[in-house]
Amino acid sequence: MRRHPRFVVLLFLAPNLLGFLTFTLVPVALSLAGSFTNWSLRPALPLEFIGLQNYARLLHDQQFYLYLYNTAYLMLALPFSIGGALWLAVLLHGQTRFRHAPTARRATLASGLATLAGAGALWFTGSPNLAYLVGFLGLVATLGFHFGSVTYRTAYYLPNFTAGAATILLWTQLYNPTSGLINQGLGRAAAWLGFEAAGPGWLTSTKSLLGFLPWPEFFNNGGFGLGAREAIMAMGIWAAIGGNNLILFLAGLSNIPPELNEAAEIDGAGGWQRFRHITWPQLAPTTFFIVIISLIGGLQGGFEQARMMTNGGPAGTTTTLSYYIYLQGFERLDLGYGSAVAWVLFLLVFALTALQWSRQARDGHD
Amino acid sequence: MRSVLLGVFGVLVAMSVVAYTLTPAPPRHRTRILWASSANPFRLAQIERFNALHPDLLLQLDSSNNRFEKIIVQNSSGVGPDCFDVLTGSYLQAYVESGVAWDLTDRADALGIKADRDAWPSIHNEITYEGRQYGYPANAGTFMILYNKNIFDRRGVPYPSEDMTWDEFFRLLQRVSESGPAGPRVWGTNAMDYSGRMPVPFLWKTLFYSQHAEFFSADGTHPTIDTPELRTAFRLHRDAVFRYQVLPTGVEVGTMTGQGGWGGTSLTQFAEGRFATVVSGKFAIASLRGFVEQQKRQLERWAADPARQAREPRPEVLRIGVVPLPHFPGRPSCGVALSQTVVINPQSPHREAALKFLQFLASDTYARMVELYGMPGNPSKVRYDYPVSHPELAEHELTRWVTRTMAQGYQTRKSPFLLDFDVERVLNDQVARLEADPALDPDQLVREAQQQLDDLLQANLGRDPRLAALYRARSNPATAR
Repeated sequence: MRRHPRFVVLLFLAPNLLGFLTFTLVPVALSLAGSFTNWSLRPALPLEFIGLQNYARLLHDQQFYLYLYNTAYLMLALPFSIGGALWLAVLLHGQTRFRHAPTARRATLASGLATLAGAGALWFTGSPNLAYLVGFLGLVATLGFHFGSVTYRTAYYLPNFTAGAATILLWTQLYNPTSGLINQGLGRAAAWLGFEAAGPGWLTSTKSLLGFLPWPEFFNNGGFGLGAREAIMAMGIWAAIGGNNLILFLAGLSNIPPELNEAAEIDGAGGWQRFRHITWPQLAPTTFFIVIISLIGGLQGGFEQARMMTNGGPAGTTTTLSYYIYLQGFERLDLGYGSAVAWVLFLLVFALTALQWSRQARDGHD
Repeated sequence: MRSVLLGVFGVLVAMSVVAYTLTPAPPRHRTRILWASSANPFRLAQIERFNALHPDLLLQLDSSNNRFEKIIVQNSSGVGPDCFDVLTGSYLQAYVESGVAWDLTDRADALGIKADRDAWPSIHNEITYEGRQYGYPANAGTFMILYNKNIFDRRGVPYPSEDMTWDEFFRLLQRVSESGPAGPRVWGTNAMDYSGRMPVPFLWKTLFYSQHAEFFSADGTHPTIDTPELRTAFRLHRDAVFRYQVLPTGVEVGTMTGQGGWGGTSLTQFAEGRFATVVSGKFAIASLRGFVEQQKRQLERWAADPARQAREPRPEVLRIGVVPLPHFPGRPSCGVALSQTVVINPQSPHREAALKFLQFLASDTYARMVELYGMPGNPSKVRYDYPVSHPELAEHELTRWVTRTMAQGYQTRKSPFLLDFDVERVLNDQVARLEADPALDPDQLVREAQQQLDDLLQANLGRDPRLAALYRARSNPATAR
């Protein structure tokens, strides 16, 4: 063994390498080859090499442009989700537990008792749902008093333990234009302010915040407003703020030498100044990594939401490129064209990533 | 470190060996037949009966792989089920074109499963394509209007009648719809196809078929989309959503429930009283019986609990009525007949055994079973004199209408040059646009659909010389070589 280290290395790598070759590299190579053919799941059609025809077809495919636009539009949520995760990480980075142990114990006890009393009263007065809500929030507060920020970090990361499909189904019901919790809440808030207003159509609407722009007719533009795309973006921001980005930012924050902040504090720097001149620059590698990963994810994203929430609708406004690839390949059985779309998507991802790398390299040199 | 990794590897190997040895093997001397179908309440009884009658065979249900794209991909890869369900002739055409449906034409007569002799004439096109037979129906039906009598009684509105026009029907639904502070509480009607994950509205299609209309010319060479019938269907669909406000859009229904699968869709919402009517068939009985039993149990619990009586209103038990589909003025009520056809995978090593299952579907035993589950089986074998188990569900009334409408139902033409599947996809896309923006002109949408489908047909011909030759032969038989 000692005389054959390469053999040992290969032996250990073999399971992963074989899986990678079988399930990734070979299919990827096949899809590249397939994109130059009329590859279809209809056997009546003999397989033929058709050169760049699929790519030429794509240039004239109006749907492709709409779905590319949808993909790009949904990615507008990325700055908010990354910024939100950073903001939350900074909030949760500090130790929020009481420094004085007896005070912490008293606060925990008081919070626990208040929660029990509040939830119990609601339960026995016939509002079980409200009792659950108050009970849950009270539990989080009580645990927070006892364990500090660890509780909140866990609470914010909890949705990531939930199956994506379950989260999507939950949001689908929240977005019901009439009986959904969001529009019901908006309606009551409007009534409290003394006016009546219909809530947004959410998943049923083709409106968008860029709907005032004169898009071509095939973009199914429903005008300015909040529609299905914004609904999916809002859900994405919610999921991303407490997700893996938060963990990465927290890890990055814990790597910042505390003496930097201490020195700045002694020199009289305020919170914002310390963030601007110490935290933010120190987090640059983490932020760069998150931006790259989010861009790649954003370009490849939207499949689950389209599949489970909207069927790509209304009128194609939530169909992204990844869902379009699926539609072409497995519903229209046109694997050749679907492969061509997939490779164009790859080129887009590659170009954007390369651009980011080059910018990062340039900024690094500066 | 090396020893740790080797240890982990060893444990994984050992666990794999244990898992392999624990995998249940099929019983000896029994051939396993895998059937990709929905997990509805009828399936288990059906499978149990078949297995009891065939000790050498073991029919098993695969309810998680019965979607179109899964069947196509699995069968094309040689790992598909032995037999699978095909809902509607549109899918059958797509399966045949994909080469995953076994041609039974030459053996059907000898096996006693011949389409034009043993099955309902109105579903002939559901089990055959281009004159060839590819399966046998597990059940058949037509669409009717099921209405919730409790809702109509509560609103003091007369029940729908047998001879209503569509316009009269929508006006009646307006009277029965209820609004709460958060919008519609009871919708007028539900007409959604739930075969995918998200509901797809099909009222437009029902209105189209109600005019005995066709998607293709008689020779199948031209899609006939830009027609008065389809324009009427699109306009009325839009009116039902926006003018009468009795029909929610597909996306709206999708946000009403997170529950999927058998029984979790339009019938659940209908049974819960969220829709006053539903466009459905006699097959609904299988699910509605379960709901009624559940509601009766709730009522019993409520009746036995005075505290609950003071707190909650009396739970309702669903009572339904049934009428045939409304009609257009001067035309009789009309609709297509549909079937759930079982098709055999031509690459299955157990395809001969799967034929036995098709013979079972054509048997007296099976006909008796479908009667009890409320479905119309093979016309020559079904007696329709089964005992009523749930009088609330108008079972005999349903039977009366289903036999009449099955006899009157028709089948739309298919074209070898363009899949029905593509026609429906293009038209569903246009309907989705219409539902998203009432300002769009339905006539324009229909014109665009015609253009898209003409282009698609030409693209199909351009890609397949065999198809192009057939097209020339059909378009101009005199000059075709």
